[in-house]
Amino acid sequence: MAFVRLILKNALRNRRRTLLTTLSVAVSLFLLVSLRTLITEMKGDTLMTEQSGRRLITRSAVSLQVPLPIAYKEKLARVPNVDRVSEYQWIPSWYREPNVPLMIIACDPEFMGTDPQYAIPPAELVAFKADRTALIVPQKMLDKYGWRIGQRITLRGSVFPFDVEGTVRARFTGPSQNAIFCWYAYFNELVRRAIPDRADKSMAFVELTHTAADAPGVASLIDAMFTNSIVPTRSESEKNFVLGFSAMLGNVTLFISAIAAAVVFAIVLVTTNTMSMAVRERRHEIAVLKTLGFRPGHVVLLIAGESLAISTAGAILGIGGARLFFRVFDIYDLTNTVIQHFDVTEETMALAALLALVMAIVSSLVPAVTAARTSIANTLRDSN
Amino acid sequence: MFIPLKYNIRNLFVRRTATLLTAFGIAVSVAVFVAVMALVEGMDQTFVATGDARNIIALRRGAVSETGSIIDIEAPLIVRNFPGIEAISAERLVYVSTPRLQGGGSSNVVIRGLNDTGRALRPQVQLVRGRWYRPGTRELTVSRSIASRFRNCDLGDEFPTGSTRWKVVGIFDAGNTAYSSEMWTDPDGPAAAFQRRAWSDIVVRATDKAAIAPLLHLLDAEPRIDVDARTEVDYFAEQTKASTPVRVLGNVVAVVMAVGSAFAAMNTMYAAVGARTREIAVLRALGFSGRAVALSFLSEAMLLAVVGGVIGGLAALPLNGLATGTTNWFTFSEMNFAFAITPRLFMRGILFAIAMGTVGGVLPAMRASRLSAAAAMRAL
Repeated sequence: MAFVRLILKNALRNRRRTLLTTLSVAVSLFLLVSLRTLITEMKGDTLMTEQSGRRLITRSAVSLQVPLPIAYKEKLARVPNVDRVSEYQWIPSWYREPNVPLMIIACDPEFMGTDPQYAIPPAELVAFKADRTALIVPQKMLDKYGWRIGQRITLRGSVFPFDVEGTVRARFTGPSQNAIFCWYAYFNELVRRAIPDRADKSMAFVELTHTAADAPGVASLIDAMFTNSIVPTRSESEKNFVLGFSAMLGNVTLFISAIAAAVVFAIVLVTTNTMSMAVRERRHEIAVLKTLGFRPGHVVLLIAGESLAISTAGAILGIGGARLFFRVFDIYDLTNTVIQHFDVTEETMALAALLALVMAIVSSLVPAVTAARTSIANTLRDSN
Repeated sequence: MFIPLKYNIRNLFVRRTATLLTAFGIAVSVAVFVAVMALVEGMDQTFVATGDARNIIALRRGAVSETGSIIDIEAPLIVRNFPGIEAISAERLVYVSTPRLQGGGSSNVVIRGLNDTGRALRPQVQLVRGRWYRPGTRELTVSRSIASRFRNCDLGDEFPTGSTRWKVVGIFDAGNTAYSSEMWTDPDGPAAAFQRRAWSDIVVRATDKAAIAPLLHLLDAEPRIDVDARTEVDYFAEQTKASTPVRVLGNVVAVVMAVGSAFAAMNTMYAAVGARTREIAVLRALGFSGRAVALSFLSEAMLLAVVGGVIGGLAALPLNGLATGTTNWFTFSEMNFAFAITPRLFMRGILFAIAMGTVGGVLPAMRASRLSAAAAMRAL
């Protein structure tokens, strides 16, 4: 116990240096935790619900630009173990600010409200299903744009040559809140008027299978069914569909990991520097300690312990700070709904803490061993 | 009277462990900054290199990219008669989900359908192997970087899109432009294979610079077609926004790392001041002012930072020219580019290091300047 007190006393002797090093470690760990969270969030797990396992997305095997004929919907509905089918059509749009993209998804209104993890006020859901031009808006977006239920809004199309004019009839809460939903039937009407060629087609379909275990079988059955059709399909789970977009970015994980490695290296350098400065200043008293009977092992422990104390303080500040920061500041607003969810998980925190521990030991190694090895006589003889 | 810089250089040498550790800390921040910004620079350069000042590009009003634009099949027949036009090319673009050769995953690669006139509008694009596609066939001539990075895209390969099988008959080089991420074919190709009759965009070459403004006006004002016309230069300049997420990430990471490095530099400089209390006293006794002492320590911190900055910049340098690819969210398709470390970026890295050194050096320098000669001597 006395030994621990000695370590803490040592750490607090040069308070400014300890504080600066702690802050430096804290800032770096904050960054490390954020980078790791970015990687985990890119996998999209936090946006999935229990029902996601039952949801499949079917689209053209060739390109999202090649739409599927609407006639596929009935065929899909007849596939064994398929409970429901909905059209799934993106309508890239914007509202008032052309630079802030906003996504509308046209679907079958009957598909809305089937996932219990997405909550919709029952009266509003009824209203949505009753009005062909109804929109159902994520709660967060409703707050962001200040819309009211019953308000008529015009969303400008940025790919399709028309605008979507609709009435906000309902709102929903749930893990993913980056898209507004409208009726596919309404979208199809708008398309027929503007580009008749493109009418009666949907970019993709969503199928809900009876159980999650049915999903893989249903997916291969569907794709086999359409192999020789005009538009061959690719069906995959909702999760894989989302993962596909991350894969399009290229090797982002490698790039971010390289940055993280650089951050780790920087932390080690900073702490090593601090510890070797401490050892240099105290070489006389370390010699005295040795004279008093402290063994080299004790000296190593003394210095590694001090490094550990600084790292622990830095870890609490940095890792805890990151958790708190992303709880307080909503990344959804900060990134204009691009990143919907940014939760520092316990696993990430534990990993960062473990890394901090390893870094503390690594960075104290050279200074500690140097201190342990220096001969008493040489140190004490050298008066300066 | 200033204290000679030589004094600081020698001091940095004397305390080389601390100097190197601190400089390396700064170097790591600079290297990360330069590497991320080299990515941004590479993307931006690609866009800037692509636009031709005499070419005008007409998209559907409100469309942000060629792949997201749908233009009426008759529109080129109307535009063709406008005055001031040297050449006109109506094109069809479709992106196709294509597996990567390395690293796994797929990306959307653009097939651009264009005729001889369209090719003549892009003199940057040169055939290097094989031959150009023939009209009326399912043939593709593919850019060199797509051929080497995607499956079934090399010379002689069969590239399948659903029931259509394309034959890769040639490889072109498009230098450092956006076309180096594309596969080219005849305009009828995408029309048949993807049931896409409408055009994606119309590219017009003006007879001379003076003809551009009136042409832009004519295109915008023509009631029979609903297009948004802009020069190619403006179109591609707009797309540099595609690098914004990387730029934001790079800036956030760099600033946070810089804060950490500045704290470390501060530690080192405080230690330097502490260890040289007697020297400072001697300097003051010799008649150097407090300000001269402060300036001396500050320049020592900056010198330390410059060393770090140069090391960091050099460490990132091997990335220069490294080819990579990502998705351009405007076109929703793959874009190839190379990391570009320009002299200007290198200098920005060093300035960034100097900023860290300055932030880290100011407080210790002020402390040094406040030590009075007598008190400092007495302290020893």
